[in-house]
Amino acid sequence: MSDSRNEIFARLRKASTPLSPDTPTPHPLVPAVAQTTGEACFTQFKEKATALACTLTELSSSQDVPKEVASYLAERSLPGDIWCSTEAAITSLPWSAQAGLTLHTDIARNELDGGTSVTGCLAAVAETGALAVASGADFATRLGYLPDTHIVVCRLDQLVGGFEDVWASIRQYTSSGAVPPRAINFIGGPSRTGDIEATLVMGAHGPRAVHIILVPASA
Amino acid sequence: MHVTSDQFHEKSAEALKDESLAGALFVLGKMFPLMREAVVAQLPEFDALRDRARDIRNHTLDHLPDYLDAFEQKVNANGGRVHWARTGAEANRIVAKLCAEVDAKQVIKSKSMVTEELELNDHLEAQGLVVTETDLGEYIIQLRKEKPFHIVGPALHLSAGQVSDTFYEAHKEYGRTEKVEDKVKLVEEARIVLRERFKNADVGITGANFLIAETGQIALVTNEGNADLTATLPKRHIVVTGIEKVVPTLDDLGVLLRLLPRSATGQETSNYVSLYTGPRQDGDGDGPASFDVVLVDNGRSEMLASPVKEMLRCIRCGACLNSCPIYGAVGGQAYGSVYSGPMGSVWTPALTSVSQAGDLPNASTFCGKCEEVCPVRIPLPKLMRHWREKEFEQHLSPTTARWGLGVWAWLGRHPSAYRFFVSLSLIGMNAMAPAPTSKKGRWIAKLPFIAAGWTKSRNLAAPSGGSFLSQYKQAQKAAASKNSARSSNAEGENK
Repeated sequence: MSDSRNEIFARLRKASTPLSPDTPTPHPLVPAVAQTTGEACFTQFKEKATALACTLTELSSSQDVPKEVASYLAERSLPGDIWCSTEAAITSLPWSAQAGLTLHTDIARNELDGGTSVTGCLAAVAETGALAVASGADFATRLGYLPDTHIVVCRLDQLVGGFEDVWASIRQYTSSGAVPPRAINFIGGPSRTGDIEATLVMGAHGPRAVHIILVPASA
Repeated sequence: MHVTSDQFHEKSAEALKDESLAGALFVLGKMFPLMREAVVAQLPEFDALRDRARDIRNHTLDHLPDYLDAFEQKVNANGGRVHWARTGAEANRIVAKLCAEVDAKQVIKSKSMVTEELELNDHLEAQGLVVTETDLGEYIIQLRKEKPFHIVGPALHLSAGQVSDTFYEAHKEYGRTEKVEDKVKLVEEARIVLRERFKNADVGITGANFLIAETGQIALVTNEGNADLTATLPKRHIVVTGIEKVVPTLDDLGVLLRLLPRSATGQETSNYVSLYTGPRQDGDGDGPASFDVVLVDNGRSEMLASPVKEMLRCIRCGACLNSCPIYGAVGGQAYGSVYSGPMGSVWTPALTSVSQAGDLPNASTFCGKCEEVCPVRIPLPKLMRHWREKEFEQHLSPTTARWGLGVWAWLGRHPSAYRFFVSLSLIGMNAMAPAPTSKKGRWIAKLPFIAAGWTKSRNLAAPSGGSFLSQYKQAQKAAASKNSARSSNAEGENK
């Protein structure tokens, strides 16, 4: 295999010039839409997320999340079985006090398939209205893909302007020599396809519904 | 890569007669460009981002081995492996070996044009593996054993009825007893079948939209989320992509991510944008045990050293296909290659040869729309012209064309002969055009000799007045006499 590498690199070296510290590199350009802050950022996120076919609710306290989840599911006649990500911000919520919900911890693919997940997120991106999630001990990537319904709890301090803000959190890992999370997914609403006659149909492979619950920065 | 681009003439003639295809192409050619324009209008920095994207891609290509080397080092540090393939056959062998290492039986794939280029599925199936495409469009054409019609929408040439027939045959084993034509139901049917494949697959194969040298991550962009299930559920994740896909930093990725979905489908963002770093980490709740990146050359290093180098900037958005009048008339299948439209007309001869695919760069009106919409500003007409020149140099163009060009060149070097030829032609064309019957002017219905092709499907406007040169001379003369009249007048006044 190293023969192949050598051969490819030999050809590439002939057709390119070596990179040196003073080789000029193109400067990044970040559009204004990705640089909103404060109230404008908040408003833009809500607009863009809605345009991506997400639904949103704002709560005045994260303690109301279990109640909101229960009523969201009941309104849609969905079962109260939920699979949660395991960060403290989610597990510490008053789930047991909420009637109509059953928490599950087994995320085997057949269990999760078609169910409802309730997770936190890494960031909510105002540029696109997407939610960034990162894999890790608290969050298994499949929580965002196998269920039919994905409910995302987002703290207002997780709201960011654009892609670059998420790059910054990736660099927090790399700058200390750590490996970034295996998967970083920007989830922009429910799964969809336009592959048959260019007609948009929702629910191609991933969740059919993405519901965002916005909660204050302080618990 | 097997191509049937030498049959372009026959296939395009067939395609032009296909009425259902004409309907699909009309929608594609109208809807996608309109959606693109609408979303571009909302991003004031769009053109500045295109300039930046062009510069980023050029810079990366100018230092490609350095960035590939950096990417490889990061992948290794992240716990993954990089494999290098000189040719398609070598890439296929590597992937088959990686599947065999984990005793794979079932493989799921998300859409990858590079694996289409390699004909990877055929190779893996020959090894006894069950390979399932999971992008809905790719799944449909896989069942129909067709090549992609469009690099973004592989099955957009098919009607819901055709998809229904295909699913009915393929899904009988799942207890499907009735044909459904409703698109929502068709998508649901595919979802149910493919969900099971996802759950049972041993290996997931994805492409990569971009490779990030800074972090060793790969970027994947989809609307269905199928790439993420492919990269997450099986025990092994194999990434197969071309060596030109690398970008230096995450910031560069940001620039390209703002251009790709807008140019491709008129979306501000694709619904799923993902970065994958490597295998499952300690404590992770899921993810593959291994992460292998197969980087494919397959002619790309030769392209880097060739006059079509700029084609390597391509990010596979398909905007040039959607805006092309030729693609819009004949569709992707006629091109006989997985890469069609203007970008395919430059890539295909580069990956094969001018003798096999020389018709493709000739299938252009040179209207320039492809270059106008390209997010990385690839001068596609210039690159197509390069292949036309090669074709001429290699004596591959048809005798009549060569003869015609020869005569044209001779006339171009002999102005008096040229003028004589033009005046004869004018007399001839005027004789061929009947007197005007209406306000629509005079038209020639039938031209003789090799020019007959032009009037086969349309009329040619009869020449009005003399040649440019004779009109120019007359105008000069008129101006001179006017001037002399004016100056004599002026002289008169001075006296």
